[in-house]
Amino acid sequence: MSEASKPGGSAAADSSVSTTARDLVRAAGGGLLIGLPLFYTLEMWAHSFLLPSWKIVLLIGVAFIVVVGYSAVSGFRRDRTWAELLIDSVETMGIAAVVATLALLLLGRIGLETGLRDAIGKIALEMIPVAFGVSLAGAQLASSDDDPDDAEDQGSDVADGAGVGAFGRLFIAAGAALLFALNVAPTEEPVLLGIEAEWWLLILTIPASLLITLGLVFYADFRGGREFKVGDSPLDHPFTETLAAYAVSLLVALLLMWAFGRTDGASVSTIVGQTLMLALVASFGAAAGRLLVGGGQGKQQQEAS
Amino acid sequence: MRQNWLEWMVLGVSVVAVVGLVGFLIFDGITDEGRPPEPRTELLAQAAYEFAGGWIIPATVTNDGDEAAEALALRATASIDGAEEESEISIDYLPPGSDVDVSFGFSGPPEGEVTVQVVGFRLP
Repeated sequence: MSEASKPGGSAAADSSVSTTARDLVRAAGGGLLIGLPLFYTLEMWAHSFLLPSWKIVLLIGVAFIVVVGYSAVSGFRRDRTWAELLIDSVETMGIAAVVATLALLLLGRIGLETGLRDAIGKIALEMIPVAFGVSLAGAQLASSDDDPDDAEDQGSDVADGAGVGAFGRLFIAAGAALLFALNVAPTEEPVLLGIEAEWWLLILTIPASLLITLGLVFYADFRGGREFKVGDSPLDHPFTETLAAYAVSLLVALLLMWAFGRTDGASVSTIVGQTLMLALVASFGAAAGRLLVGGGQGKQQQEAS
Repeated sequence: MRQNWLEWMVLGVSVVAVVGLVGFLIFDGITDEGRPPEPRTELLAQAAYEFAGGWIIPATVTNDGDEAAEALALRATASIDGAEEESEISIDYLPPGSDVDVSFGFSGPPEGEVTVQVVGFRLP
């Protein structure tokens, strides 16, 4: 993510209209890149009217918190005030809404004959992954009074990495888990996987998820990966962090299953099965999210400490 | 500080879009009485046409309730050449407030009135 926000950061020093336009294009592009798969998902279309309004509002609220949190934690234009942060996040959601509307129109999912509630529901649901993409593109267009140095330091500054504590990292993990899991959560498949899996297969998903994500973050030497070192905070240990990230993934999976009505009238074993299967996906997202904020700085930070 | 007109415009559109979307959904949530699905079928007799395989009568199905109907099945009954004939159609999803266009097929032009009955549907 620091990679993605870097060009935005350096360009933000210039406040001309053409810079803003470029920011907008990048925002829309990033949003589509992340959101496009879900525009081609039948269940997303249907859930626009199958879900009650308050659930869609709640999902947008969660997405908004993730967007705000991501902007706050990622260190992009860190000198912003809270008001600026909120304004940026509202813009992220607004751009996402416009992009989602245009994409749905282009794909013929909404039109003049679509009921208003149906159309609004579709836009509201589809704008969620788009908002994550806009956010990732680092294109919050706002209050760009930061200087180019500040922006360029972004990717390499040790202080940036140090700013992301264990909880910040978990928050990013939750957001990324949501983003990843959202791509499969609306479909039937997690339910089928959960129902049809043998009990021992379901149990196996837990160590599989833990081992793979532990390896991804602390061993595989991805950009943003960290060394296997123990920090001060109890959550600053690779084992505890991996475990906590998995717990967060389980919660995210359960939230999504509930949000898409998969827990309504379902037995406990069905809920557990589908949540475990979806958590496998979510935990990959959580690992990817931690790699992104790790940004290589965590390593330096830990070496320094 | 917003620094140019485009940024101001983006902010304006964003606020309107977000407040509009969330406002509408909250309003809809509050005013929603949770009425069950009420499929209503309107036959478009004047748009009926003949083809090699028989007679087609288009219809528009509307949901007057607040909830969506899933796997909605409709049965049209008509009398053709003195014999009673049935035509069935199913609709995957009928969202509240939305129209779905369907067509019923018969072997020939119906005599008298065509009646449409809801066979059943699933609740989401």
